Amino acid sequence: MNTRILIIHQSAIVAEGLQRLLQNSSLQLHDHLRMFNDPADITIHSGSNYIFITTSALFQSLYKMQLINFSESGYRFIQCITDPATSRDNLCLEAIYLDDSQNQVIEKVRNTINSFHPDKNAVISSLTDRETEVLKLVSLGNASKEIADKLNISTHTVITHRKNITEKLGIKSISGLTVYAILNKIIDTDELSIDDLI
Amino acid sequence: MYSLSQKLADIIHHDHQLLPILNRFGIRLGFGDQSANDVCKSLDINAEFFIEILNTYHDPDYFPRERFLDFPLPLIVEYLKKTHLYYYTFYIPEIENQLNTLIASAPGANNLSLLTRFYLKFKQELHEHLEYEDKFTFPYVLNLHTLYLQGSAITNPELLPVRSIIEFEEEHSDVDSKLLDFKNIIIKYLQADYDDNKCNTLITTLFNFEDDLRDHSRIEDKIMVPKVLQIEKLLFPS
Ligand SMILES: [Fe+2]
Ligand SMILES: [Fe+2]
Repeated sequence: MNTRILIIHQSAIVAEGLQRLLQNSSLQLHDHLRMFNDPADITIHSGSNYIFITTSALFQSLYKMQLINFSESGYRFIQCITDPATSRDNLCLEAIYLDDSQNQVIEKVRNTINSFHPDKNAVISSLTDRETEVLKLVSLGNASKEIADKLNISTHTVITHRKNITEKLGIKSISGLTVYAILNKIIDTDELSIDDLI
Repeated sequence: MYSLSQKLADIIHHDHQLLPILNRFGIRLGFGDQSANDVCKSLDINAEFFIEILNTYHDPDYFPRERFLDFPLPLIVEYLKKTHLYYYTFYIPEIENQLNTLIASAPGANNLSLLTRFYLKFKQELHEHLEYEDKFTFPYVLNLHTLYLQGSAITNPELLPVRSIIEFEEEHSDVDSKLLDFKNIIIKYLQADYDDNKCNTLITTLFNFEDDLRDHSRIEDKIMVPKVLQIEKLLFPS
């Protein structure tokens, strides 16, 4: 699931500055970073995680209810505090201050992104036994339906496994997965011709 | 962001990755202190189009969709074709050479031959995609544009064999993900006793190619296709 970051701030300097800073970071946000003046302009796409970086004023505004709703939907808030006298609202996981360094800002955003995937920071690369089995069958050229039949599980489950495999390994294409499987001796190429597989 | 009044030499000093783009427009080095605008003028290049292409290539976050939609289709197609030519004549053989050099640097590492297999597969898919566009998509787009210029709605739709660009322009995601996989396999999973510098060269080329392809597909998907759809709507009122 991708994470979208929306910056809602009436100060163009702050909003543009934040956008620049995050875009030039290693967070790989691509076009998932947007600026808004008015929260009413926001469209929420289902299937995405949202992080709102907002001005303090928003938490005392008419929009407070909407923010609470967003928060109950699992979306995260980072409060951008320009006036040192203001304190962080309870809805917010993190607060960014005007005198934060670039690294501090990025770290706070990264923490917030990671809060969507609590186990993502742990070692994720190793496949489970089931995933290895599925990977093996994929590499041997089986379609999801065939894999489901062979393993006696639903096609839907197979698709979920395949998604997780791709996410863990960073490999999407079938030929790419096959190369991985051969490199890691998940399939035995002694009896098979590599040319048929890839 | 670059502007036409800047010296072209300064632009290249600032971002030398733009060199192949210059070549695609027929610009060669040795332009002295001329501004980008003057260089374009002397070679009869559409300067506005040139600078927008340069800027989008330089900054992946810059993409003036509205502005691009104003440029005529033949100009856009011409640029896309030139880009294909660059892939055929430079990137594809170059990657292959660098891969072979890498493999030769580690005799006996037979897992490297897997990479060649995978690369050939990617190359074949890419070739098919480019060839299809050169043979069918681009001629269709240009034909449609000519009909559009003649100004009349088509009364006999059989004049055109296919009635929508949608049927021509297939998704770019397959080729993209293979290239990404290729990079990732080398970066994350390949362990062999190869020459590090040769491997770095190959990876750098792959990254550059990826950027170039992304920019290319973006122009096809976000500029060419919507423009053609607009014309189709006018020509084939359903
Ligand atoms: Fe193309
Ligand atoms: Fe294409």
